[in-house]
Amino acid sequence: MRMPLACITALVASLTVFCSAAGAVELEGVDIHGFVSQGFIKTTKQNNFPVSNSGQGSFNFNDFGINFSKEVTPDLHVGVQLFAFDRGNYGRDKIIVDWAYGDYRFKDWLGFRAGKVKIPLGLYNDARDNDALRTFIFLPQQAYFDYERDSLVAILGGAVYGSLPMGAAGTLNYQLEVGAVPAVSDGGFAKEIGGMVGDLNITDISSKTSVAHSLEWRTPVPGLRALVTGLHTTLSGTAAVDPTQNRDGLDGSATWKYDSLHRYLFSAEYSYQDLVLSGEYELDDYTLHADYSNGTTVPFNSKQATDSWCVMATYRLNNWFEVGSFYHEVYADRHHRDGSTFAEFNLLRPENMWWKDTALTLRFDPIRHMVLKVEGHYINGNYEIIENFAGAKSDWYIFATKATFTF
Amino acid sequence: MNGIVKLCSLIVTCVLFVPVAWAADFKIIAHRSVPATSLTRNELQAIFLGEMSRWDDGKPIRIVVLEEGPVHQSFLQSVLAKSPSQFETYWNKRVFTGKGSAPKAFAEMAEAVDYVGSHPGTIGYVAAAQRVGSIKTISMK
Repeated sequence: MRMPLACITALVASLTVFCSAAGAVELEGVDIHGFVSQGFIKTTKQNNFPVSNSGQGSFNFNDFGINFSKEVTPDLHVGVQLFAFDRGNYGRDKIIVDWAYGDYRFKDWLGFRAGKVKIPLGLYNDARDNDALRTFIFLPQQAYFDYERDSLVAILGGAVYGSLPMGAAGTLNYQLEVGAVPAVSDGGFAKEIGGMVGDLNITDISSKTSVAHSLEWRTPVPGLRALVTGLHTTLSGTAAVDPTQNRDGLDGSATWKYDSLHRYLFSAEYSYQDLVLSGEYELDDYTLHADYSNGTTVPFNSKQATDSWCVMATYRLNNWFEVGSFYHEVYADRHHRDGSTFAEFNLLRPENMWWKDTALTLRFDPIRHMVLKVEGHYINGNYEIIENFAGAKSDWYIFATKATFTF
Repeated sequence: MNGIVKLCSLIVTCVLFVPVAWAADFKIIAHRSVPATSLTRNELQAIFLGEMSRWDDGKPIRIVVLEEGPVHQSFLQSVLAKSPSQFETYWNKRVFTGKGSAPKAFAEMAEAVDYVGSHPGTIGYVAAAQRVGSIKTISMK
């Protein structure tokens, strides 16, 4: 563990212990909040997901964050959150600026943000870093892919947002963000791209101007809300052959493009007392290109059209115990759900082209500011697996536990 | 068969009328500077979810909540359709995404009354039977 992270962890842990009963620390008008989350994960031996060494059982499974915010005036807020996470070969507890922005609310129906702003995708994306803010440890992976959290969760730029009351029809909340996606070349997303274009090491990533949007309708039916959210971006860069992973006989370097990603999520959530039911449907369309410098390897071109859906239910039985479950299906090619697209070229097994995940979670809140979770997944298919993809089992499990302290 | 019909009727009655019964358990209080005398459920929802930030006279809205208890639960369920844990999670999401500061919370209703009475623009709720002195009460439309 690097020294700066050790300092942040010690600071967060100390503040967690000594924070006020209200759960926040305030210094000179600056609110300070944070969380420390440490887990253990064990998966089927051959399937390392989403922690690189989870097949052996791993403690490389943590998230730490601390944020500072200040209300400069009732309409103007500024804040920053530092964040680090470890998933084995990615994350590696490297401290990043998770979000940092100024927020000026001109009117309730029109506000502006500028800086690094979280992307409001689906029900969970913008708040997914803090494990205590949800029932599940792992959210449905197509919409909330662990490997993409270092790259596709925020935008560097500006945003407008607001709330529009519609009388008897409820309320509309909107957000529109424009800027660059701050993808990193040594993260999980880079591993995903590198694997897709031929086991290459990504050496550079940049994004074109990207757009994210969210429209939430809080309906007149108490407890019912619906959202349409989306992300539109193009990323490109360079890559080099990874000699330890080179199964395709490539050499030299390559240029690649993750072109015209259009991601849409349609979400609905209904809460009745302690029961919350929700469902999400996601569409992803993009084209992946790679050109290889050796002049002999045929350029890679693949048009992708994936989709996924999930249904989730959580129920809080009392102040300290909550149970949750979800079922999630992902298809690499929504036009050929049987996995035949690549199987006919003898490239992949059909089960590599889907992911069917059944999850059960027990969440305990034994005291304020402390959350314990135990979670199991039974999964058929291995579409989402990035590392050691070739030897993965098609029927497998994830067992995970997590302890989170927050203030 | 008759028993099933009676059971279903009871469930439907509970679903439809329990929120109304809860609504009688609390009252909305505000600092005397607050211009509103009555608010709709939608307006209260927008206020306590941080979406409505100013009163009609342009002054900022401040909210206070109770930490726990039946009055807290009753208010949240009937006005926001949220349980106490869902409400806490909602505000924690805002805190951990930089979108807002959690509302000031009090363990005792008398403390909430004192705070509301001494801070302009503040709105909160207490038990219907709670004595609030000269503090303004706001009716639900």
